[in-house]
Amino acid sequence: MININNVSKSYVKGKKSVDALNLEIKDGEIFGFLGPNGAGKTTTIKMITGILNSDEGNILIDGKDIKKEGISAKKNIGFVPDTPDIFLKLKGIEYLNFMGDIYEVPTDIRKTRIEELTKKFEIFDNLNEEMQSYSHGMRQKIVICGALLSNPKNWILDEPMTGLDPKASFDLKEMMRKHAKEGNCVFFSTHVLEVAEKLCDRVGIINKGKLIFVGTFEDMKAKLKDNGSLEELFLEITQDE
Amino acid sequence: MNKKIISLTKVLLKNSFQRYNENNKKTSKIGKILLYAVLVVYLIGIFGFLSYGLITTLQQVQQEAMFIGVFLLGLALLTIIQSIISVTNVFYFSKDLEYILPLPLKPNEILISKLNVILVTEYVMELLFAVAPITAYGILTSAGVMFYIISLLVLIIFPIIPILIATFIIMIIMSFSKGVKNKDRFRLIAPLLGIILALVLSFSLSGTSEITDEELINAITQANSMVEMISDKLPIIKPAINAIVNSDFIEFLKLLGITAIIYIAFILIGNKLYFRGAVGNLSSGSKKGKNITTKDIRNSSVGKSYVAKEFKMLFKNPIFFVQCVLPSVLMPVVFLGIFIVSISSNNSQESIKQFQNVIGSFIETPIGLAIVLSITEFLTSMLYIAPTAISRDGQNAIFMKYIPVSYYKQLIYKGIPSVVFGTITSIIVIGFVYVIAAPSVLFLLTVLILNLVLLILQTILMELVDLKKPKLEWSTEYAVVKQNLNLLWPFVLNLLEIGIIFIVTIPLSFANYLIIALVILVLHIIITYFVNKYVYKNQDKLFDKIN
Ligand SMILES: Nc1ncnc2c1ncn2[C@@H]1O[C@H](COP(=O)(O)OP(=O)(O)OP(=O)(O)O)[C@@H](O)[C@H]1O
Ligand SMILES: [Mg+2]
Repeated sequence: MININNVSKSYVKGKKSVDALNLEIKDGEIFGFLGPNGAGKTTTIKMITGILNSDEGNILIDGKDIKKEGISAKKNIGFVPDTPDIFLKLKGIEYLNFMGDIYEVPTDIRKTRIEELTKKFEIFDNLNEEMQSYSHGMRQKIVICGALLSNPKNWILDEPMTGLDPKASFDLKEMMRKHAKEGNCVFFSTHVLEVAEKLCDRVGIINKGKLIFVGTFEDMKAKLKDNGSLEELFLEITQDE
Repeated sequence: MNKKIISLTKVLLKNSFQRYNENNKKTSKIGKILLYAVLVVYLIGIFGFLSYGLITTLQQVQQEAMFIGVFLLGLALLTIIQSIISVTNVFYFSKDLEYILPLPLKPNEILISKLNVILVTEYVMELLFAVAPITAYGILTSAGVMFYIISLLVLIIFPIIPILIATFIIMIIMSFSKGVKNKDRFRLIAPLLGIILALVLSFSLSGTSEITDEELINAITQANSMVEMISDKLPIIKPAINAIVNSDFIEFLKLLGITAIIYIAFILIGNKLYFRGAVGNLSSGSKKGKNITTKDIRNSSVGKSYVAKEFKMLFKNPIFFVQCVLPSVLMPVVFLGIFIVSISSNNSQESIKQFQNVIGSFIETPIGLAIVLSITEFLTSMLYIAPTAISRDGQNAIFMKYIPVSYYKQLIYKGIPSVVFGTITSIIVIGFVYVIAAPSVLFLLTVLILNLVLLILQTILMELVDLKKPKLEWSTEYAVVKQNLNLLWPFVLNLLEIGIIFIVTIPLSFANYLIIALVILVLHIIITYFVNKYVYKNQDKLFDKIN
């Protein structure tokens, strides 16, 4: 469960990149975060994961404040950043072992998880190679594997589908569904409306730092008809693709 | 030189001295210039002072010309060592070849431009290390204008052959890299191999000119004749010495001639050698690995795993390793090399023993301790692991913020490689001290412990420097180590440390060195305790810049 209470952030004085944001992502829910480029999605995600400090408001992960109880809050987060170029000099397996150590995953669980995840994403055969030799999609896959290794309760993914081939994208969506069904919480940003439509229990739309819509995809479609500005925004998002 | 070469040289130079696109405020620019100025003056001052002392001593036995010989030999060796590192970087590590090769340039134009880049770097070095000694010599021997003109000309021509030697050594090593599977690792050891080769070469050269005791005595009785003994190691040394000492223009022409011939010959062979090695090096793709087995999946504690990752990132990245680790580990070895070459070729066994006795009786005093500590402090100021601890991660630095490990702990893990390599430097120095002065084990142990304490404080402080102004926006590793003002801080700090050590030592110089050691130890433990407390309390704020 993720609670975002009245959170604001400005990089430059006077210009709020995220403005008084309120959101609650319940357990068992897949939440899609939509918005045009520069809307504040990554900024929000960075605050949820503890990378950025919010100027105002607080964020709770399973009831734990990310600022005050950072370590225990972070233990329950699996995070996939928007760029997958991480520690490229390490071999795939070295990276996964490292993540397993950081999140204290016991060896036997680690073995089955690594095999399961990497075989599903078809990078098992590449684990003994340095990640700098991986393609963009393969890097995305290994970062996802690293984040999900400890099976954290809350998944937070910043545009996780970019660069994935259709099969991997499908598999990831399946995993997200399964994870939510098990009573966990999935929060991800995306530009792909079909993904949001088919996958998400609820979506939120952010524009210029302000949350302008929260609800189910059906609600959004209904609202689109009688709200001109939202329709423009919708176009803006779809044009990004 | 044709226009293409000049403009290519300019581009390459700019590229290798590339700045960050940080917001250059005027004040920081002035501060930068001021800091550089202080540094330059400081270095020139030190070398001037050392030269002054040496020359006046030699003048008492009318051997002052020997100073020029030793100076040029040292300069040649230093140039070779330095060039070996910069040649590996400029010729082989830098990615610019990918852009240059498609351009309509002749191979030798590229080669000459790259050599020019090295040459310019060496001129900067000469400015720091050579101007002061030569001027001191000129003043003390009350030389005329001709002396300064010819010295200047010699200093311009002199580094060329050492550079060519270094380049040649590296090119030979690199041309073997084609068949090597792990290119990164090979690139990493190439400069090491080169320096070992250079040292072996100079050893064997000095070995050929063995002198008996009698000859030595004869030589000493004849004024200035000691110079002759050094000179046959490099063909350029003799003409260079003669040109400077006697302000002899003909000798300078000789130097110029030899250099020109070797240069042309080098360009002719260098061409083929370079492009064979370099082009082969462009693709550094790692080998296709075997599949993992269950043994590859294993557990270790958070701390161990984190530290291991830090070491891996240092070792697997040749640029970081060569720039951040190698200098402080290599320099003591090089000094040792120069020292042994010059001692063993000029002195008999007995005089070496005498020398050892003199130093040995002096080493276990407060001043002796302070000097040894200062040497290690000076050497570890070239250790750039801690001041780049965060910056080396670049865009990956945010990783530190989303994993469930406290920032304080991560700073400690990141500092461990710095302390380990600093300790290696310290052990090399201790070995060196043991060989020449043979002090007691207690003394060596004292040095080791004090160095460790100094290193720990230095590491924490340098990590704070990096946290204050991290360089995270880089696309090539060079950006982290080139033109990074943060890297002046270890130098400044260690200078300060040397000052503190002497301030503590001098008023207590009558006492046992152990008392001084105790004072330094307690002082540093207290400072470290408070710095540590500060870091622990403010860890969240300190990491604010990383996002
Ligand atoms: N480091 C930074 N410094 C200053 N401004 C920033 C910084 N990072 C982001 N911003 C600004 O904050 C706003 C939100 O950026 P953010 O990265 O959150 O957008 P986004 O929704 O993730 O966009 P995209 O779809 O392109 O990923 C933008 O206006 C951007 O210019
Ligand atoms: Mg984004």
